[in-house]
Amino acid sequence: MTKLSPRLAALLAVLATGLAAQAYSMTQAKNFGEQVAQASTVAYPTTEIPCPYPAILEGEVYGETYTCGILAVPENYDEPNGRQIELSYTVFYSQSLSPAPDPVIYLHGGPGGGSLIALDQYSETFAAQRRIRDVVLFSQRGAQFSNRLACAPVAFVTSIIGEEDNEYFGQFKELLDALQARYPEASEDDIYKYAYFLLCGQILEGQGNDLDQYNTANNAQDVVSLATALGYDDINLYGISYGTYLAQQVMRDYPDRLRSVVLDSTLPQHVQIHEAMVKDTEVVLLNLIEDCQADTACAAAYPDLKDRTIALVAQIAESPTPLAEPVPDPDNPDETIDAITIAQFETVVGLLNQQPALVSPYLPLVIQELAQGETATFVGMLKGELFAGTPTEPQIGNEVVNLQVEAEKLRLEARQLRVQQALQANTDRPGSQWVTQAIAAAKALPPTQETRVLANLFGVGYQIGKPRDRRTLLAFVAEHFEGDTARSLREGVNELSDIEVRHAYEAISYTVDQSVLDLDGQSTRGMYWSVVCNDIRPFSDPAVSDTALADMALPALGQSRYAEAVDAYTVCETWPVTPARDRPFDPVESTVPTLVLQGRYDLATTTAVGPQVMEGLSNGIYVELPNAGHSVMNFSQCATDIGVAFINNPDQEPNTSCTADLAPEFVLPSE
Amino acid sequence: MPRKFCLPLVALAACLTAQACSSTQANSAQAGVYPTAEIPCPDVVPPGETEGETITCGTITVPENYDEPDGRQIDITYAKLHSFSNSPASDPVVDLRGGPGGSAIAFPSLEQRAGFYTVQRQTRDVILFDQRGTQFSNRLGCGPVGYAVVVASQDPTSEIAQQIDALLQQVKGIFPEASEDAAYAYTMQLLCGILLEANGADLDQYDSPNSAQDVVNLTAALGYDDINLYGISYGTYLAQQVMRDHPERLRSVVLDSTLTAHVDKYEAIPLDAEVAFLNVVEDCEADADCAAAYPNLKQRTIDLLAQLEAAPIPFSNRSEALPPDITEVTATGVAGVLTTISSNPTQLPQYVPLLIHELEQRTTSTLDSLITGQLFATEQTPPLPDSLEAYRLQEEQFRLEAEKLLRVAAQEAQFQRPSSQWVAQVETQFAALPESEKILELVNFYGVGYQSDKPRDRATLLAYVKESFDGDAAQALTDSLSAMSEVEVDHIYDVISMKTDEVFPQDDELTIGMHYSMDCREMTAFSTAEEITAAYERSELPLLGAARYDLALTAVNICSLWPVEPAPASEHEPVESDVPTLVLQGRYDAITNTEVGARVTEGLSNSTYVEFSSSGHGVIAYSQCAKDVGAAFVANPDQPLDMSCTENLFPDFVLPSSASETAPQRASSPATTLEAIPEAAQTTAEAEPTATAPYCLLVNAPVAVFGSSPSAAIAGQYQKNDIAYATTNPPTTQQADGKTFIEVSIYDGLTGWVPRTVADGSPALIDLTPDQCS
Repeated sequence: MTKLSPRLAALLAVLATGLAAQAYSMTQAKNFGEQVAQASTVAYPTTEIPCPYPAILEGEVYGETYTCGILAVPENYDEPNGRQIELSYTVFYSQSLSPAPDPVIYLHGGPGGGSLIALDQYSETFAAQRRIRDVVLFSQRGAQFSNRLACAPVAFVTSIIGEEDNEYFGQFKELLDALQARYPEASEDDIYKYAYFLLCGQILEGQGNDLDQYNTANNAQDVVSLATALGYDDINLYGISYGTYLAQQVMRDYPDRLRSVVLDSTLPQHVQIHEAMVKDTEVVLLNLIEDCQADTACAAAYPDLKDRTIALVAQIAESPTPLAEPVPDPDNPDETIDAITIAQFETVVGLLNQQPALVSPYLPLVIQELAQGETATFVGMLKGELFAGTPTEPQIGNEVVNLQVEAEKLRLEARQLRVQQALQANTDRPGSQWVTQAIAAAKALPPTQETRVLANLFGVGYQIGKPRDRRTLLAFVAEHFEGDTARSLREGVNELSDIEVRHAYEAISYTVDQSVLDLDGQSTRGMYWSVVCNDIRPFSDPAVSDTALADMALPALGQSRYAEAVDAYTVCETWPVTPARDRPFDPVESTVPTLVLQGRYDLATTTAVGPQVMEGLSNGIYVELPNAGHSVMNFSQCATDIGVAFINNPDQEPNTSCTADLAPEFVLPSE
Repeated sequence: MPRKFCLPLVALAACLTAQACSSTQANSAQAGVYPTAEIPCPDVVPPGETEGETITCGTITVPENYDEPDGRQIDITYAKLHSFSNSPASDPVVDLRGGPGGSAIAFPSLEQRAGFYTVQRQTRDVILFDQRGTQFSNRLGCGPVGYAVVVASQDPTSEIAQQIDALLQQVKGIFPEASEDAAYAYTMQLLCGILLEANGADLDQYDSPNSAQDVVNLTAALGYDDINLYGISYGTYLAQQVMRDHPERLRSVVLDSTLTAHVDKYEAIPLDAEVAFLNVVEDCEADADCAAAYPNLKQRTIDLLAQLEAAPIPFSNRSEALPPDITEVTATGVAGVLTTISSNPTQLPQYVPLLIHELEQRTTSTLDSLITGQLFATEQTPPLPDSLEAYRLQEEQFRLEAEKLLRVAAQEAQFQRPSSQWVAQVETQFAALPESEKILELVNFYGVGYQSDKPRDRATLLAYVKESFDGDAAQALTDSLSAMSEVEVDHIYDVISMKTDEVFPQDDELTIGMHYSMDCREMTAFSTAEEITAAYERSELPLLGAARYDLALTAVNICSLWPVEPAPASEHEPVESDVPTLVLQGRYDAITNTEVGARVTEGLSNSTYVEFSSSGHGVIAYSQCAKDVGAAFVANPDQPLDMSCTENLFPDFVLPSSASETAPQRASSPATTLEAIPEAAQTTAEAEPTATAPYCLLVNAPVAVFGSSPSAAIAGQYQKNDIAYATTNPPTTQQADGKTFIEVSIYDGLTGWVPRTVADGSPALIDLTPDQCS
């Protein structure tokens, strides 16, 4: 493990936090051991609070149809009187007046993802479940609204001190050089990334977080603590991606609480994911080829598709296929593409994970064309023209249609109005108002001070030894402002309720994600690395990842995921947690009725990975969904309905006939 | 052109003497394997449904007599409402309609029936079907009896007139004390039974055991193994029969407003209104404020009615809206109000204690505003412009407009079917005839499905054309008939039967021939007039039960003439079952009262009994709570139910106001808003007791009746010359779509809204004076 010199660490802490130079060292290795999880009978306190993010919810009334709140739990369950952290949750009450007693608890992915930021979306996604039972969402510890462990505040500061004219540039450069020396093959961008993650981990620890506690076992205990606090006995879990990994932990530790479990896009606990992930793209592309070969017409039109694909990929990797006319780069409007590189080919395959139904029908044709040096369909796909379709004009003159169109227009207008009202309501919250005022005050400062004060505002919840409370906000004001501005901001802080003080920190986070640096929006990085480096990465071997890459049928398609694995190996070397090497590494054994949903074109947890969870499930049902990527629930009503039917009756095999309608209708070459 | 009337009843005499009316029809159905066929839905498909995708209609052909599998076959028509889920549960909900004789598919509408099951359809299919003998399943209508009467009245010397007269004399001999009207009514029922048997129906086969067998055969044919039953009213009795005979097929059963198999129905019904009223009293006593304000309410009511019977009281401070012919408050009038608790269980009960309290003090203001409709008038404040609520309301308005148009389009689509067109083509032939001849021709035509020994098939129609027409007309009708599909030929008889309902509406709500076949076999069989009278004499408030008592005696008399054998005593035993069963009971149900419904649990080892306050007959129609409890039970029949929502249903009793003329105070929270669409009456000829003279309107043009509001689903339709009864006098009105709508009573407490004008602005309703009402 890289050990930074104390001098460097202290220096960077100064840079990142602006002022509070405090000496600290890397966390001592802690005896992690195997945490003996006890069924959580302790009722941790909950408090209902306004939802942390504006909820644009049709037909929803806060306090009636849904509520939000926080649950206070110990950061370390072994030290119940130690540091406490607050987990944010939302309960969508059942629409039934006679709800089933057991709710669905949704476990988000990531690790470090979120669900409370998109309540409107989840209110729709879980509409069918809510007709029968309550649905509970929560931000896992360290994620979005639950003692967030973000890295953007640190990365933002490094972007400032990374400028050559910055006073701290020299010292930052020293860190970069040290990392480059250690990882001579890493690119400059990667080194920069490793640098801010290294700093982020240290800042988070320095701030008082015990990152070892941000692990799956504690997440699982949080699940049952929350269920108990909300008054539920039996529960149903719906986990997606890392949420399935967490669900398996609940199955391991608290089987008595589980009525049923849905694993959607599964990361089995015993899979060496950083070894397996190297092959992700290949697995998906081979699934597509298999689907074509299983379709009589497709198989006839595209014989030997696999061999031809292998040859094609090798050929493109060797020399990009030139385009007759340059095409604007969809990712970079200033650039054009004049040849199809392996990266672009991989991007198109990657679309299978995001828009499988649009992309899959064309891929065999694309492969055949490219093999012949034709690029028309590929270019159509790249430009999106292929999927544009013809917009359907509502028929004029049909009174019924006109009325339906009018009603739909009004619905959209009402929705727009709701969006505005919700955003306005959020902006109007005193916590948000204060942040707006502080940003304006910073921008009124001379340019030399402005950037520094803004950086400190964005990092105000991330200072060494300073909790996210009222005093920290007051100290920030005292530090950076004077006179009337300082008085006004100070009075503003003092007038905030505790909940609004809390919301001020959320509003700062939200501002950073939205308009400064969106590093944590998809997945809060500090929480991500804590869980990955604690629980997941330790079971993979970098050497095996190398072998996996070498063994691929389509090795050119393994490079980008291989690079992600390398990132994990590297960041975890300096991330301040103790890997859980002595944790059990065997399949989760469970008799709880479990539905395993797997998308055939899932690129994050592929068909080579997900089904392995079945090994330990004596009461598991495996359903593979054609034309679905990661998180099948998002790709078809069929998948959603199967999940609902299963939870309604976990002992009955759900009707899966609708999956047959999902298979791609492959486009055949025109005569 | 000489025209010869081919009366469907001419063959009756021969049939009566020869005693050989049964037909022997060959068929090929093997025992236990019953063919199904998909058909176009026979009635208007609700807006939002797509035939073949979200709803499928069809028939299953079964033997009329299961003991004679090769004997006469009948078609049972079903509608499958597909689950909204792409992964439906394997076991559907099978709806069992009440009556007996009610149509699940047609009355009041498929749309309303389907609306009961929206929650259930989220997880599973719902199967509706017309039980054997009802509307679309070999209908046993009595409307065609009216045709015989028409013919007889045209020519009093005709054979049919003489037959009717002979029957009437016979009936008078049996019931020497019956009034002329009653004897005539009995005669008409007797004639109906004779007619149906002559047509070939074996009325003994229209019973609950056969219907129960139809349930399992239909669901098996549709590919279902286990099923869930949801029975309402008589449908619960049928459900009990399925539990008795076919328990292995049942995953769960919901009995909503139960007619308990081992209860003597006709001894129970004279007490229905009293039990419902006493439940209101009990609910008042359970509410601390109400109990304190109105102690000893039952005895006070008994005393009040006695005082009013001795000496009616005048109205104090009469409101101007009160009809002038209502001069005083009588015991019968007040009892009449109290018997309507079941019909308006969501609004009326909260005023009942106050009403009695006031009348004791000779105060009539609440009664006054109850009669004039002011009591339930609600004021709605329009939402602010550009507010979310304004958008929502307008969006809703557009959506409802679109639905209305879809309903019209669906009606038009039915009219465009070859069968409907053919019927119209026949009717056109009569257009030029003088009125008297035209009537006889129409009678002849509409009776085509009720001729002696003639099946409802293509040959019968061809024979009818041959006998009634000649020349080009005969050729054209024969050609189009010959070119028609079997399904459309079958549907001609449906169309004619709907036409018959327009002229002689007695089968509209309940198909009477089917109703009596079941009721006489299974209900009156277990009660005598003496037993019914003895039961009635146990009333504490006999004025409340008088109408139902008369109804029971009438049923016993009619059934003594109806040609079916009584059911064996074994069918009158408690049903013993361990199938998970949910028993739902409305506390203010005056058709199957709480004492009748609760008793079904005696034989059920795995049942949950739930009472719903502020609910009448068919609780599913009165609250979302009832719908959700039913759906939660079917979703998981073995799990304890959350029934907490029933606690919110108790009336918000109105307390006496301290200030003299100000608005009464509420006991607690605002009244629960509930839908009011009760299940059809279980028995026929429900007298609608009312304290006031009715306000009647003559229907001037065919017009739709909308349900709970002018923008709700169509609940029925009035034909020209129907009499509509406003719910209040003067009528309660509401403005919608630039039209004035009048609230009308449709049947048994079901109310609806009718526009005063039709599309072209001409009047749809003509106001009548009270003496013109009949």
